[in-house]
Amino acid sequence: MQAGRRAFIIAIAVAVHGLMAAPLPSRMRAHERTSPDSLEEVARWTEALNNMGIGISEEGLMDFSFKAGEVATSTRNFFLKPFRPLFRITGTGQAWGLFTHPDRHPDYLEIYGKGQGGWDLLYKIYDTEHDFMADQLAYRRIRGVWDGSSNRPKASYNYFVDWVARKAFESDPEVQSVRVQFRRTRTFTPSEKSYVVDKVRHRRVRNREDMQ
Amino acid sequence: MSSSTRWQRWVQLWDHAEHPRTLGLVRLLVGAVLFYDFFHVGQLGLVETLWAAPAEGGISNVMDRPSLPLLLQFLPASAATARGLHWALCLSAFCFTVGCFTRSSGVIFLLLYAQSALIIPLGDRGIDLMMRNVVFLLLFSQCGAWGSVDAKRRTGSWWGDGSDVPAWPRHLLILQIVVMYFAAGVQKIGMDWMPMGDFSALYVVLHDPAVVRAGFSDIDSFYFLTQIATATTMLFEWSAPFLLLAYHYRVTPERPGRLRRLSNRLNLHWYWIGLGVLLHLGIAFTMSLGIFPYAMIALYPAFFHPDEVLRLAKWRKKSEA
Repeated sequence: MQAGRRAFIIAIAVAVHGLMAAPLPSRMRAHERTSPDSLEEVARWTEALNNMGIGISEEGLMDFSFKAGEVATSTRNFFLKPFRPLFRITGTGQAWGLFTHPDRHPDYLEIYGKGQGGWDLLYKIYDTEHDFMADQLAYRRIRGVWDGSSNRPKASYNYFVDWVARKAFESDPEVQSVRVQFRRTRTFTPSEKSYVVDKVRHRRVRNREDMQ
Repeated sequence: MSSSTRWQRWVQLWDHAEHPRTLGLVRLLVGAVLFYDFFHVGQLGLVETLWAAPAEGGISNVMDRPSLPLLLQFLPASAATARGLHWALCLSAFCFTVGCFTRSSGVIFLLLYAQSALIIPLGDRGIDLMMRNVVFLLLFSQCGAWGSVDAKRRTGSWWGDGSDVPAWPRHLLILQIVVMYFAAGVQKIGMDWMPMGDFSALYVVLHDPAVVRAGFSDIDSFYFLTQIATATTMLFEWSAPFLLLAYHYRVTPERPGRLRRLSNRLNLHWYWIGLGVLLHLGIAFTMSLGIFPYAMIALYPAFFHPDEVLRLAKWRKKSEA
């Protein structure tokens, strides 16, 4: 290929990918405005900005973040629209938010099975005595379906629960019901005053007869 | 500087040629990591779970979405399709890795990789996006001219005939890695990454059961070390553009400047690259992020000119003897 033509195509590619990679604020979803992590993060930033002499309230900062995300995302989407089909078919793009907000409210996945007696713990992360499907649940593509700090379960969560229940019923004929849930905790640094957070979330129960 | 000179410099920048050794090495390493990752899905018995419809034992909500991925517009979202997709992914990844019909197998692999991600987007992580970008870029390179079946077929040697190939794909690969690190650093706006947040981010991350390896959650006595690691991570990511500057200094040694002289004399970019390797080894040691650290390290040969790779190989041989 002629050097000039190649350099022109590379210039276009660099510009498009540069716009895509530009660390602009992303669109905030409605439920993210009320998540504990968002509220806590905004409170900490508000305090830091106020200490620097920038007067802003928590509501004001949240509104600003919301609007900035809207404007930046709309603008970026407008310019990138012609290239979207290529990105979709090749699965390429630029989105590099890695641990942008460390999760201070981590959730522990728990799986219980109910036989003749009460509920028995089948799986809990780090628990070597209760490690039902531990390798599968830890695999990164499966973990992506259940992990996260959102207040709402992810889109595939119910199908994930169905799958876990089917596997539990297959592995033990005694199990009649399966319960999948998260136990939310709270991370404090050694210098922070701690309190206990132990909240069960997104509990789902499947019965053997319903799954047949 | 006139704009025509700038344009000429831009054209020259992408017009270099070099030995295909480095690009071939990146292809081998990246391909091997991806082949392992997809092969491992089969070992875990997760093929249908990931890529079939819920009615066939899958966990993806693909059938609930308004538009189906292209693959499922032609084939049913069945267990058989999932198995076929997995088989084709493994085969094309293997062929790409060993450089057998490198470009064709790479195209097939990339398109199938993208379809697999569209079927279950929640299972598609940042590293998958990075890997697809890299494979896409390698498709335009002559990475199959070294260490490949194609090289053996064409030249009679696995290592090719040593003819130079365009260097711009490697240069773009470096730019891609720099962009990734820098963008990741800039977007770390959580207070825990900041001095005001006590540089506690990695301490917090290492308490997240979804990512930490077993046994690393009890790290209270190492809090200070996690703070240093957090600050180092930020420094590393924010300083990524320095790498481009260091390379610029290296090709313009005749120009003046104390920083240029210092960078060239001490090879400062090697320290940045070394820090990156340590960062990813640290992640591999403490976190359970799948292929992420290994796939990133697989890209690091791109930072080295093919002659540097050769010198390193010779030095290793010499020191072993």
